Amino acid sequence: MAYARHLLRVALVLAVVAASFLGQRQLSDMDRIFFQPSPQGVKAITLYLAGRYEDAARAYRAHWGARILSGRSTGDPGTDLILTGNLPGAERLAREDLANVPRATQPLLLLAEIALEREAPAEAVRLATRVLAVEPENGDAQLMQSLARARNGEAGPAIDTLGRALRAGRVGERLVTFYQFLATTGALGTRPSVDRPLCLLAHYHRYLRIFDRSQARPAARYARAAIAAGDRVADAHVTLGVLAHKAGRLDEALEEVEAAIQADPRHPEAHRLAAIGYGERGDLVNQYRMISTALAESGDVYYSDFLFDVLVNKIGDPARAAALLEPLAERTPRNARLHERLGHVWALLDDGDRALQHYRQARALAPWDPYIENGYGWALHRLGRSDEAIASLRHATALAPRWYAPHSQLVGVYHDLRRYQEAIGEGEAALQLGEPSLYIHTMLCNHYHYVVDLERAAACARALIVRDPGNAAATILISKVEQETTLP
Amino acid sequence: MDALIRSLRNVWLGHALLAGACVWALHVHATYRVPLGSLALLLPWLGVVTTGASVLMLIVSLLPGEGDGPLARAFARLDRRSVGLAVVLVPLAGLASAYPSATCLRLGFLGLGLAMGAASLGSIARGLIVRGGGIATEGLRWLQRVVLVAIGGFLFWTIVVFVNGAWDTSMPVEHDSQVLAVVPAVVDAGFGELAFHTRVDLRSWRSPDRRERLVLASRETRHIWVGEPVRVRQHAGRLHIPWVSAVTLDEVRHSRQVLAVSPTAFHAMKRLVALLLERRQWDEALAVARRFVATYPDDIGGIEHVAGLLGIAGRYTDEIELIEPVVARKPEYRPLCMLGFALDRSGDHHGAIPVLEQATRLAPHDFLAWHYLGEANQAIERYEAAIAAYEAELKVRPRNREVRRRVQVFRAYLAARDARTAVTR
Repeated sequence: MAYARHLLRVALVLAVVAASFLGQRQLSDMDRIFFQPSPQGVKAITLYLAGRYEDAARAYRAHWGARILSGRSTGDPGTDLILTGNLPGAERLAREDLANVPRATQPLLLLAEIALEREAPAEAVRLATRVLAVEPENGDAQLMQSLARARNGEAGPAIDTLGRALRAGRVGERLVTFYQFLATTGALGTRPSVDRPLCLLAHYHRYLRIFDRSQARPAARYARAAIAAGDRVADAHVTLGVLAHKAGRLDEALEEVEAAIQADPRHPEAHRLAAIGYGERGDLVNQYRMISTALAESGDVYYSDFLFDVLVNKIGDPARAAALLEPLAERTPRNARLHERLGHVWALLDDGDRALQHYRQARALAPWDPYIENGYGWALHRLGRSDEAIASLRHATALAPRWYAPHSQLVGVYHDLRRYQEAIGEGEAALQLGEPSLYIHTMLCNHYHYVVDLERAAACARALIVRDPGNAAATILISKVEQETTLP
Repeated sequence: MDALIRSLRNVWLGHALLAGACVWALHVHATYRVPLGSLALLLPWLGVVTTGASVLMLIVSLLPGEGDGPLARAFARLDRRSVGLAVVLVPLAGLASAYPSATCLRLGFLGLGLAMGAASLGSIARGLIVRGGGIATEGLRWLQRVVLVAIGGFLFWTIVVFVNGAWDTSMPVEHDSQVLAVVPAVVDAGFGELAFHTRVDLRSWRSPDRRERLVLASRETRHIWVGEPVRVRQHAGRLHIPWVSAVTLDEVRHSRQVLAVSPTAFHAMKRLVALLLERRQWDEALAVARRFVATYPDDIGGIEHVAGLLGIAGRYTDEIELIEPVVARKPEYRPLCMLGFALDRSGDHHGAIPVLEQATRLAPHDFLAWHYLGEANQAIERYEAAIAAYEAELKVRPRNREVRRRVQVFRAYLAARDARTAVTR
């Protein structure tokens, strides 16, 4: 009897230990948004952990409603009004704001939230679309549009819009939208199994995984169910690939995106993720193939940065980059970054006219952007227009005083002009601002030597060896300087 | 054997020794890899065996008749107070979740939880064994001996591998190979980043029909893919057991693959030239360099870079071939300096002089062309012209002691020669 009691006690203790570990692991992987200090907050998190997302969203709103009525605030007046149920007041506030600033996006998003509260998803889609026309990368608007389309029964477009937000890592900032998202996820998940949009649910849980890592499990479960049911198989594989990648299972992630490509050979996001996977391994050939296909198939300017990085910075194929990026620039003529990229590409191809034309367009569209100004300076230097290059790079240093890159560019310009003292000044500034390039450091040491400042040349070379032990250029320079110093 | 077991019976020391030896063994097998064939499949199980041995040692140390050591007494105390401690554990879990950055809270929670779990399990095991009688007790002791002998055998093999690799002074040989299969281990060794998780099958460098099987160090696992062209660095081994120190991407073949899909890729061309020069494959390096010049004839900086690589490798004739057309088209200062220097170093000092003189006319206030001009004249013993060039350099760089020294030496030489000539007359 005593032994049985002992066993029971031990079993109880082990259960508590196991439960504590599981609980601690679950809670520590959750965002603070889920923890609200009130009885309603405790109820909300309990309902959330039980998988009752609609009830949890209601409890969270009740928590905020009580707080706001007692004089607290979420920090946004419109959100406060919605959470206390004052939809007419919220609408009035949004319309007043819009009257004051007609191109403002926040009032439109507030109106979209109100439309969803009133079960008018079509109106919410229209409002979110207006926001995206002004700010195509607005994460709240993308979430709102996805939500509204999901409630409207358009699972495919809802996945596409959410996918665009997820691929760029945008999570949105609006509290009401988050609770609406939670409630919608719950509502979709409790539908009868034949009506359940499996792939959409996989994506919604993947979004919630950003706030709670344990959401990876339902996301993967729904994705596998979607694959089995033939519901947007490629998107479901992409979801599994992303979940595996986030969990550090890189081989599995690559297998999943390859499966997505098998299912849909034109799926751009699968190709982009495959390009990331191959890039992480160092397989440049497949990375090049994948990202080129992603852009060629989608024609989406989002892929242009990655493509530029692979084609121009890693492989060095500006001709192919120009062929792929020029049609994009024709379609999106107001994309300053794209013009800057094309300016760089044409400069590499030594087509000065086209290069400068693109750079001028980029500068006109974003005159405040030091990145563009720095690129313009680089192109002018490459095209042999040194004075203009110096002026442009000086302007870039003024636009971004704490950025090393324009100083590093100036080192090259002054070097080519054989103005070594000025090159030294720029090299020192670049290193002081954190320039990581060993090449610029080496140039600085050589410039000290050029102007026969042997002491600083040796010190510079020694510092270079500390950064890069065994650096051949620094070792040679030190011995050269030592030999010259001993001369009478 | 009994003495070993007795010393290991001091459980803390035993666990520490066992874990330390196994971690060291994993490190040895990851560093001085011997192609093992099917044996490679067993390595990932090491963690499981070690963990099993650890649990066995723990249980045996708690067996009746082993004497109540400090561990057994501590576990017994924990077990008696476990209900009270469980009450503490729950709020501690909450606190550790709420303050994830407070490491001490998390460690405290983890330590308490693990200790309570171990104490409870130990208590159950001890109870069951007491009831199971002598056969179970003796069986456990035998099992422990078998496991420790197996681990001992493995550690002996590890010492052989260590001596073979660490004391090996032979020069490594690089072989071309290709990854045929990458097989992640089914069993996680339990040592996280320290352990092998993957083995790789490579096309054999000894016989094309065979495969070589290696375990991958965790640092290599993420950078390997099927079809990857690799270079395998093999050593003869102190005990004549060949071992592999590195499996790395064969950048030459990889660059060729890049150029096959992107024939105008200039980074790939430049990299390939540098790598081929490192491997002293001069003809192919020159062929790729020519291809670069043909593809990007207006990229003066790029051509200078590629020609410079050839010059650094001492291939001055090849450097001249690349840079001469650039100078012919656009005689600018830097390419002229490069050409003049290459001509001088290739032995054509007379050819170098007019090129460098042209450079000095373009930029009389820079030192480089004057310096090279001085050296070219010096090489053909035209010391007056060399002094003139060095003096022009000193006007730009007056503090250059080396050049001043050269001028002094040549002046002294000329003076001595003149004196000798005067005496002869």
